[in-house]
Amino acid sequence: MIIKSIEVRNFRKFTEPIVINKIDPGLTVIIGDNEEGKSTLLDALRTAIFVRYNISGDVATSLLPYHSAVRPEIKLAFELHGNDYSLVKSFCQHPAAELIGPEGSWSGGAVDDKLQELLKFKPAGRGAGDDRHRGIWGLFWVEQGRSFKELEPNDDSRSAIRATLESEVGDVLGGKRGSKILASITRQFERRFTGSGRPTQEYAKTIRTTEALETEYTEVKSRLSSYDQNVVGLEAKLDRLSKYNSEKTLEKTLKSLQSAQEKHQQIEQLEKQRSERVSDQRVATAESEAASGAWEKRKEDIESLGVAMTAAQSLEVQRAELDPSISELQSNLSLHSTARGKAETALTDAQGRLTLADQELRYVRAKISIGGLEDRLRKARRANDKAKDFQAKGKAIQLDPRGLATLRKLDKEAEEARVTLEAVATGLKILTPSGKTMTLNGEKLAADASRRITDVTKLEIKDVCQITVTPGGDLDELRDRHRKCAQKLGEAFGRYGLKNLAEGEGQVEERKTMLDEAAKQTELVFIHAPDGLEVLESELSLQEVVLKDLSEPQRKQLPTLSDAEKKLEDLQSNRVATQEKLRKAVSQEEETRTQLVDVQQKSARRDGELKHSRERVAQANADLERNRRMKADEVLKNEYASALRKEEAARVAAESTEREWEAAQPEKIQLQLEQAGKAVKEIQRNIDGLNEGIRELQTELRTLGQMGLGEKAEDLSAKLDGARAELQRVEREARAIKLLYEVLTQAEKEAKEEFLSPVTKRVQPYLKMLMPEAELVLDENIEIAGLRRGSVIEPFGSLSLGTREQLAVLARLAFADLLQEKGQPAAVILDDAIVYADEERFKDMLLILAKAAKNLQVIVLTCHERDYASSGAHIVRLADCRRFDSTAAKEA
Amino acid sequence: MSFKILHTADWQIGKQFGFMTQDAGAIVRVQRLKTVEEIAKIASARRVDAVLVAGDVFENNTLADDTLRKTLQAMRYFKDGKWILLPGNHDPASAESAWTRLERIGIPEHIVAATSEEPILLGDNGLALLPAPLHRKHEVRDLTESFDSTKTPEGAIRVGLAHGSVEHVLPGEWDAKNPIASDRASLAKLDYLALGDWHGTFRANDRTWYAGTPEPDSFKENDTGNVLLVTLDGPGALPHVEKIPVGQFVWHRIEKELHGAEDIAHLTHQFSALSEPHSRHIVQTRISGVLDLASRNTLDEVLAEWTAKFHYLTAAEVNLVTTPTEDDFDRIDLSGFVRTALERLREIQKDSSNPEHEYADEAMRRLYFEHVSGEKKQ
Repeated sequence: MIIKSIEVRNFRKFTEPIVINKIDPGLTVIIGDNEEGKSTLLDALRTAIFVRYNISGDVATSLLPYHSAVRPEIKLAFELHGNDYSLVKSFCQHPAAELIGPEGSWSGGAVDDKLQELLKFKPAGRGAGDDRHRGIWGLFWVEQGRSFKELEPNDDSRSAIRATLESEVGDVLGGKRGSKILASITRQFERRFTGSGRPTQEYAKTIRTTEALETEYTEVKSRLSSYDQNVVGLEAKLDRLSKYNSEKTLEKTLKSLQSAQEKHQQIEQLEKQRSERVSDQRVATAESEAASGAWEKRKEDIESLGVAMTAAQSLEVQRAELDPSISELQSNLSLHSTARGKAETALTDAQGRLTLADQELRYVRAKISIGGLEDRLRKARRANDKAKDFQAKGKAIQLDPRGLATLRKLDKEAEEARVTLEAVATGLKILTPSGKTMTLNGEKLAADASRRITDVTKLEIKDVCQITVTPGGDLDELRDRHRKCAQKLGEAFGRYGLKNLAEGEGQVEERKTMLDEAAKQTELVFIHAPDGLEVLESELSLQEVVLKDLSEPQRKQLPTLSDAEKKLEDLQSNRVATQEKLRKAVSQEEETRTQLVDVQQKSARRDGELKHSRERVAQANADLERNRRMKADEVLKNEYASALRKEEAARVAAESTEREWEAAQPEKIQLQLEQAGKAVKEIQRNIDGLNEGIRELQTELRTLGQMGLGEKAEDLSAKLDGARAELQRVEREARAIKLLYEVLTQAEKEAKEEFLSPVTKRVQPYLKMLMPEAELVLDENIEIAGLRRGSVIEPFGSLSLGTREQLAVLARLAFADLLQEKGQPAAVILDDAIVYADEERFKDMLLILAKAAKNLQVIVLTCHERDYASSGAHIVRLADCRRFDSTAAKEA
Repeated sequence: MSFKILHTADWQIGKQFGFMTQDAGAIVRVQRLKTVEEIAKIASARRVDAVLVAGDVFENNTLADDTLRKTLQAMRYFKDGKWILLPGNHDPASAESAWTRLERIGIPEHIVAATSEEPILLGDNGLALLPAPLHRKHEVRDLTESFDSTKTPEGAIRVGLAHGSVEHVLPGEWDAKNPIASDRASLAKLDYLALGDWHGTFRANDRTWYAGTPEPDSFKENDTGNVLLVTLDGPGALPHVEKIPVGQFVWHRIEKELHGAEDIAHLTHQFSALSEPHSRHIVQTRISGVLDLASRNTLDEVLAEWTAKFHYLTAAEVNLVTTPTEDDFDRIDLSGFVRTALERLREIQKDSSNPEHEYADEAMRRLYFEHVSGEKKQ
């Protein structure tokens, strides 16, 4: 549908006619100030199409301008499927309607019917109706203040869009039947699983029932098994008891006990006898041992005496052998002592001569040293005296080189001053005539003299004349300078007692010569006495003290140094040889003395031993004799033989008894006795235990037997099998339902996505211009679900007003595009639908509208003219569309 | 002198049938006592000299006293002769057993518990019964061997009474427990050897018979539910054996491979062909094969219907695969996400590496069922 023009008269706000011609088939922006009636224009459009021309009552009244009874009229020209239609509707007074199209013209009620057919809408039963009754136009014509709300498409739009979508992608949703199946399966799933995928109470009950049965069954089985074990136990006990009875076990064991007891008594008898024999034997043995001991002792005593005597004799021989060697050693010692004395004397003698020679050598050395020192001291003193003399002479001359330099400078200055003065002085050439005397300032002049006159000069030719010459010019200053310099020089010469400079230079030369000579002499002093004169003097006096301490040799003439040294060396060698001789003599003497002491000690020891040995022999001899007096050797020997015989008899008797006792096997009999006793007790205990056990088991088995455990176990086993099978079935069923549920929901989800893909596909190019990263999510009810950014979907309701508004416009444009492509041209009218956008977004929205307007008619109603100035759209100002119409004027 | 004995065995009173839904199991359990009453009535009507119960009178030795008393009560209709009850492997005469308890409870004189090998003489010593009671569940030796040397009065008919497996004559695998020599009757000069343990009626030779259990108790195929009326005309004469059916319930095992509606129809036919009243039948079906969703739905309906008709019906699915066909798919939905889901489930079912693949079958069936029930509502 393309709206081409609209004229409105006497409609609500429009008391003056509004005529808008040439509405663009693309984008048109209609500008109207607030309260100027742009929303009224949209109302007028809706009224023309959707409100029956002959409507009455409140709706009709609402169409009238305020407080006026006029005839609202709306004219509309539009194009549909390439055909032009012209519609006129007048309301209230004389309502009328007319529609002219290519296939004919209609009037009155037929107009409304035809409009419904052409534009596919179901009008409201009563009243003006709302968006629900306006077909797809309800979706596409957006009134002010609605733009940011959800789309809320009416049934007509929804089914139109659905039909269009289905025509494109097919019936992927499967209609109501599909959703019923899904609902039923979802119910079944939810009956079995909780939201978190766990079994529900109902499902878990089956599991618990099975578990309870398992527990009960296990318990009964365990009791049954204990019953069976008890039966086996009871039988075993009965068997054992009957074996005891049938085999007469107790009686047999009692008999063995009795027999063992009898044998044991016999053993006891033997035991007593055996111990008596053992005791007899012990006594005999002891007696025999005593006799043997006495006899052995006697034999030992005799032998010991013999040994002691032999030892004493041997010692005596050894003692006698020592005497000759003692006397020999004593004579040797005396010889060695004499030799040693001689050697000592020789050494003393050599030592004395050595000392004398040493003193002589030292005396010679001291003498030589003193002579040298005295010579050096003498030379040094002489040089020192000369040095002092020259020094004094040099220092006596006052003028030194510096003073001379000053003199030279003064002299030079005076000379310069004189030369300068004379250069400007008046030259006088005086030739004195012979015979005449001429004086100049009193000075007699030679016959031919020349003078320079620098001051008032009196020239007198004796007796002739007196001439006073006064030189002119600046001579005064020069003369003064010369006078001062000459004065200074004169004063200096005076200070040094000089006549002239040459004399000064002679003096300075002489001074230098004196001082140089002094230095030379000082050098000589240093050569003779490097450490100074005092040191040299003290060294000399030291040597003189040393010499004084040394005794003067007896000789008349002192030997030379080398002779003295040679003599000392010879005497030293002599002393070493003498010392060696002494050492050897001492050593020989000591060796001999040691040998002597050794032999003497040995001899003393032998004496002691010999004395002791002789005492022992005497003692042993005395003891033996005393014992023999008490009991003779023969008696002792006989007593011993008799005791041996008695002991042998006792041993034979004891062994015989022992053999008899062993033959009776006492240990075996003891074991038999113990064993039989224990066996009787044990058997009796077993029999008692068996009887008691049998009684207990019988009682327990009877009690258990009455409980019908076998039936219970069998019943439970079968029930458990059943429960397990049921659980398996229930689980299987649950798994199957879960699988079915998951597959169904997934398929449904994909189907929905597929179903909406044509819209998504069309909305995306628009959205890309606005939010490049986002994706619009629609639901199958043709409603905006939200905005997907990445994997997150933000629900529509939580988006900002601006975004909501923009998305709603985009979605409408996409739907309109879709319908347009499927031959259902839909114009989109937006009454101030983009009011929350920021500047950037708004610009993007203008581009989007421009893009949409390439295929669609888009009419924007707004009061913001400036905003759209750059849109490139066809702009219509409501103010420009007001007409004073003759018809209207007449009616008014 | 001629004697008539009624030979029965393996009553296994107290046996539970818990695997059946509660009522069905309880009824089968109670029926075993009713069948004992029936035996007593037959014994009375046929004027037998004795009823021989060849072992396993009781399911086990730990039954409730009440069960023991009820058994005695069920035997009340026969008092003119003796009841000879032999302990078997289920109720061996151990130190403490059903038998010791029966003794304590007190049993009438005409009911004899043959708990020892002592011969029992009846009819003025004309009939000698040689019992071989089990004292434990399993014996490795042949207890009937003692029959060979057991002396009986001159001219008496010798009848052995034992519980165990006759060597190498019973169908199936021979159980080495409690063995009985197959020629025991001739070795011990028995006129008749009454045996228990095998639950079907079975003739081992002219003189050696298993009576079988009088009330069937399992799906094993054999001739159960009978008692044997044995007429013994004199020592050495061949016994005359008459089989009398007494069982109430008939147990069936039906193995069926299903591949479509025709096979299901055949199964239905097999069910219908079972004798009236259908409530006598206890049926176990073992189903394998491949079905589409529609047939699978039909099968579920058939099984539900016959579960109500039979005393008990159990259907074990052994390798039964449900595979949706294109028709199934189209029937569910030509398009839409439900169809997508169904296709995915089929893929999962085919993909054995998918851990969920074993549940895909049921998931598809459920989806189909949802669809079908939805359609029915509409």
